[in-house]
Amino acid sequence: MPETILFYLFASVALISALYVIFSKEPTYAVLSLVVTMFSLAALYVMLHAYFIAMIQILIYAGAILVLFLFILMLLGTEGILPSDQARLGRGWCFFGVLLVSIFTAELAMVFQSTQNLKDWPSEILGTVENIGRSIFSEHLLAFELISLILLIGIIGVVNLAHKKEADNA
Amino acid sequence: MLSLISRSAETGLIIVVVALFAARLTLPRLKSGVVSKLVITVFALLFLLNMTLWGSKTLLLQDAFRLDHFALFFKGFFLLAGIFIFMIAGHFQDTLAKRIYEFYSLFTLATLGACFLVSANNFLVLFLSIELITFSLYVLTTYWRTQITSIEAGTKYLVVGAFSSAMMLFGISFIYGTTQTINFHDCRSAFTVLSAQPSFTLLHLGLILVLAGIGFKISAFPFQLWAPDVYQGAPTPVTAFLAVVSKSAGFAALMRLVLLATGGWNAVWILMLALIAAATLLYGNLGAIPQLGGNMKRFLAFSGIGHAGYLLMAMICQNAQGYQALIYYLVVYAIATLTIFLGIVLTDPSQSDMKHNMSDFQGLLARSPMLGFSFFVAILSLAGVPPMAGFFGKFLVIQAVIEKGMWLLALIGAVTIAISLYYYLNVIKLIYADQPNDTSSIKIGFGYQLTFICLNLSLIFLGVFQAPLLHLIAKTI
Repeated sequence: MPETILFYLFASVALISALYVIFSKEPTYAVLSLVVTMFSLAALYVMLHAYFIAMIQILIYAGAILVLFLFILMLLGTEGILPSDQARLGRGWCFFGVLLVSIFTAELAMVFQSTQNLKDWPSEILGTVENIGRSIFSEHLLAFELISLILLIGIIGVVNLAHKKEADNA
Repeated sequence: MLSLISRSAETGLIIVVVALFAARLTLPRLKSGVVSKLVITVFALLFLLNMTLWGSKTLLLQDAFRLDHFALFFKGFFLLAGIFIFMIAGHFQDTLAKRIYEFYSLFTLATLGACFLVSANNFLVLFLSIELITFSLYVLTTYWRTQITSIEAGTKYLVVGAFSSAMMLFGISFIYGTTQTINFHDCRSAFTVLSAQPSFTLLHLGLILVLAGIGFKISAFPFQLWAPDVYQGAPTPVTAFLAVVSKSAGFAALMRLVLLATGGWNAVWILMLALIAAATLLYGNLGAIPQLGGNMKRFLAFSGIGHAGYLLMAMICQNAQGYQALIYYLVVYAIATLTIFLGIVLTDPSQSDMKHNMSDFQGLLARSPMLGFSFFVAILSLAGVPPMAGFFGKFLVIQAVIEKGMWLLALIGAVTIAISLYYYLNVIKLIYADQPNDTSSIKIGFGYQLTFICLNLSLIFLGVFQAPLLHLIAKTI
């Protein structure tokens, strides 16, 4: 019972703050309210016993990505990006939005219809850091190493495309 | 197990990447031409090392890595293709100067991704190795960073590539959600249970999304729009990589998925794929005609989409005959395409990699008989004119489709071959009969001449004596 109350509490906080992100006129408030959304999602993950994902959610999303958003807002200023009445979206975009919404609704309906595997709560030990670490470094070792190679490409790419000094090709 | 891993192509390729960085840091006086030759030699050695594994059939690294004839054949294929792509890149060694190290290491990493892809035995490794290829290509397509076309190509490839990866990952999440496993073998049993039921399940949705993700890589019909712009704007060696290695890796992944993870398709799937194949054939071959007189690389993008259509036709047969035809076609297509890209690069001695308009190739035979003849052989092979190898590839594909009883698809294939003859012969007329704008003769180095002779001879040899290659391919399936 307390689990259910907590679930509705965090879920409603997540929904309300997410709505505030969309409807807020002030970009800084929108970003800060997105932080709240991320935190309440992390709480929901904890309730699913996915402790590791909850931690990563706070570290990566709330910690890194949203701080990056705030930095961009700080550097660019918020004057130019305030929504004005002239910047209304055209009819084509509205149609596109309706299309997306209907696709997602259909998808949700499909997911909720096939609940055969969703009834049980996941076991308590599945989402611990220890178990995930074990699984990454034994069962999914190859995948883990491949990800490190992909990150290496990212580093090479950034250095190469942003490095000005040797811009000697055509 | 350790001896298998140490001899596998992947280990060698990682060592090449490390060695390239070490060389850049410690040997500043090394000339870029020497680097280029060294990398080509190492790739040739890796090819031989890979062939010593021939015959091994095992699962490694917690069943994530599959080593068998199919994987070894394709690894050898990618390494050989890599050698020719490095030769194409070697033409730009002076322009690249110090940036050649990163250029080569990114190509090596992309080849590494392709090698992992054909050895993947679960969806996670499959996805990550496709990402390894595309991430390298995002950087490589933008490599001429002062040219606006290259930046445009890189941006377009990034947006489309990221979108297709997201779709694929989304699909994999559905497959994992319904089957509770990412392993190909375990998925297969779930698929056989579910494909007996007529209803549409989340598993089917997942499979459609994964197929769409691969469809981008092989530039099949609804996902082909990126190809012309990216082929045109990317540096020519990168275009060659996209057209040969990236495309064949996509088809290899598709074959692996069908053979290992799904165990075949039912009639609805075949109908859907047949429609995609027919649309790809028509789009590629009809779209190539307006490109005559335009940009050569853009023209090749359309012809490449057409070839993806023939390969899909072979894919649909779902029997040993179809897969044999597919692999044979891929090999022949790769040889002809690499010949053409090497020729394109050598026709422009300025190393700027900017022009490549059709008019630059006018009267090429008079300017350089070797280049003119190589284009002649390669284009005839792509068009499917006997006795070139391309004819036999198309013959095998159409034969496999007809024996499967899909007459309409075979008819569309035959009609598009006739259409393709029109535009391919137009290019040959351009090279042979038209007067050149610039009459200066083109000099080709001895190494490149030897390469052209090898490529041309292999196209003619494979067209006349198909049996050795077909025997080899029969072992891989």
